[in-house]
Amino acid sequence: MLLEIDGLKKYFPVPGSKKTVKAVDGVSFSLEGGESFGLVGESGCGKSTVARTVMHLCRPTDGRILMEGRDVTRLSKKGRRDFLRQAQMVFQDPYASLNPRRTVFRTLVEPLDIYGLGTRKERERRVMELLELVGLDARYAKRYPHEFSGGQRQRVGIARALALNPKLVILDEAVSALDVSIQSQILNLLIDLRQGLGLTYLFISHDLSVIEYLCDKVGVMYLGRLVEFGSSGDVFQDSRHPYTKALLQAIPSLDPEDRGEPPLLPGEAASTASSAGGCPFAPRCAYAAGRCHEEAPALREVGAGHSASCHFL
Amino acid sequence: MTLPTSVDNLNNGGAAPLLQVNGLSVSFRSEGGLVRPVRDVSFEIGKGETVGLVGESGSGKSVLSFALMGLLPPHNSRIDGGEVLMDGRDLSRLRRRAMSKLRGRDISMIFQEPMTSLNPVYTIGNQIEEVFRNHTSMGKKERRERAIDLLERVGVPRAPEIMASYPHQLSGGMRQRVMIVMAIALKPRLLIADEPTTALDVTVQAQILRLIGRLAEEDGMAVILISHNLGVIARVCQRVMVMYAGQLVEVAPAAELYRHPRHPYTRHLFECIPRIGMGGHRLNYIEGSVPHPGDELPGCRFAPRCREADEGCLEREPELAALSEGRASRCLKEGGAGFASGD
Repeated sequence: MLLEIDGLKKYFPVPGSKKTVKAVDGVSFSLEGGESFGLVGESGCGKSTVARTVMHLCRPTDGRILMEGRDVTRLSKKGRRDFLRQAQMVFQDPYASLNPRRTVFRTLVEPLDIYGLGTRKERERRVMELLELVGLDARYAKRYPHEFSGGQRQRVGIARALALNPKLVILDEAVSALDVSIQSQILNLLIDLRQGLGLTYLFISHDLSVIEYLCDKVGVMYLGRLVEFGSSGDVFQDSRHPYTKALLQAIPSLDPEDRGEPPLLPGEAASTASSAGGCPFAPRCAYAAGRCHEEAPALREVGAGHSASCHFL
Repeated sequence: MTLPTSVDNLNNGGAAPLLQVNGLSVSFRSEGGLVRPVRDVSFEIGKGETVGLVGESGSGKSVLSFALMGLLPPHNSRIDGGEVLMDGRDLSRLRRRAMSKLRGRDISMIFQEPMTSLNPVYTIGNQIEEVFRNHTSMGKKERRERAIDLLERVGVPRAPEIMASYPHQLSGGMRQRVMIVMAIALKPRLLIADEPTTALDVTVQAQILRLIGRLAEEDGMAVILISHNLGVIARVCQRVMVMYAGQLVEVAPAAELYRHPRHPYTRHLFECIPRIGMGGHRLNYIEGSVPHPGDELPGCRFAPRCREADEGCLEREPELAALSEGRASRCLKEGGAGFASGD
């Protein structure tokens, strides 16, 4: 296993009260090397907090993170530095995550400088190699972020993440801000890079179609917990959890005659915090019965490598 | 030079249109010189008709909607030509006072991010009631009752309680419902919804789209739904206009556009969209990016990115030509009789 997440919890205090927000509440999953794992859910479900915790951008409240079997949950400064050589992140908005006053060359050479990799000449060569890898012309090295289109900026963001030859790349809504014509370019690039470099992806998105396109395995999150987990095929073609089904039905179809009027999922996740102890989805679930409001269902196997957490399975 | 407008009556009925836009062009003064985000756009909206305007960023769809609403920034933009006719009046020539009287009453608009369009320091109730204060002679009690009725109509639970809350206390979906209430409060005949669900989760998006469709039907209100998402447009609209680099490139009844897109840009767009169940099938993409609104090209504005273009497409500019009843496409290869620039 390249990455194992075991019982991860992240609680945030609510300012001015004794309450906490359980952004991530006991999430476990693992990624084999070369796999592409998609974490999907609506805003506030905790998917980005999982990513940030893995990247050591925030400290978990409980649980463990293992990289190649080694516990990396709490690392010293040096340990974190070593860890980040193997795990890198691509963010949603490449404009906000690139320094506007640095040329692309400086942005891409910085990680190599920090880790003292190679001679100056070798670093320069590596930057050119990275540009080529993400499909940007070498002459772009001297340019600044504002001179690029959104798609080109995201290519720079990807090149930066690849500079240190990481094994794991975490992509947090990495194509969500792009137009579809550009989004498909970047998705294809990500597929090629993964195949060419043997990368492992943890891909975070609210867009189920994008996840299905890119990922072999999928975890569906709702209010801090995984509610369904399995191969892309299982989760999307044979979904078992009522929430996954509702999400899939909510995607607008590209056929105007198919306004099938599916049953709408009422309310919104953030505004329907469940009563303590019950299934977090129960307040919005069409099938919820007495037991659902009292006892939270555990993730249970419903097929080979396919699990869901619902009392009615 | 203005382009010949060969397409009239692209609405789906013969009745007098609610809104008629003829040859509308908008330019902006920017640091790099004059840019033209909207170029000779013509279309009609029938009474009670729901029309989608689809395009990627840089297509000019939002500038077009601002022009229709008379909301272009006066210091650096102007309408270069064309007219926006409603009830025989040209809205593009109305004075600011007259236009602001008309906004809300005849045409309303909702935007992508309701948080930035709501005032953070006033209660929801106060902001909804303001619409009635400004446009009607309703008394205080009546204003409040109407506001609560409207909130209930758009599916806001505990309406009296919501009236007393502030925008930041509501979720994104609830804020968008409040914006919709303010937009439909005076029963406008046309609602322009600019990416109304783009910031929302997919389940909430489905709720809001259904709501917009229901309100349009119940009130006989026409809707222009602007989105970059063809799926969103498909849920609500009877007719679709596809915009690219400032121009309408295809107009068609929704069912026909999705089944058989005629303009290469529309076809290319469909091929870029990942769909559930496609697994393994590689997506197409469109080479390059949208031309800058300041770029003047001699030929078709999509030709540099079009897989079907030939040399002629780079030299001759196609016009939006009628293909059949209610259908038009701006492509030399689809019968769009072109003309070389300078003709």
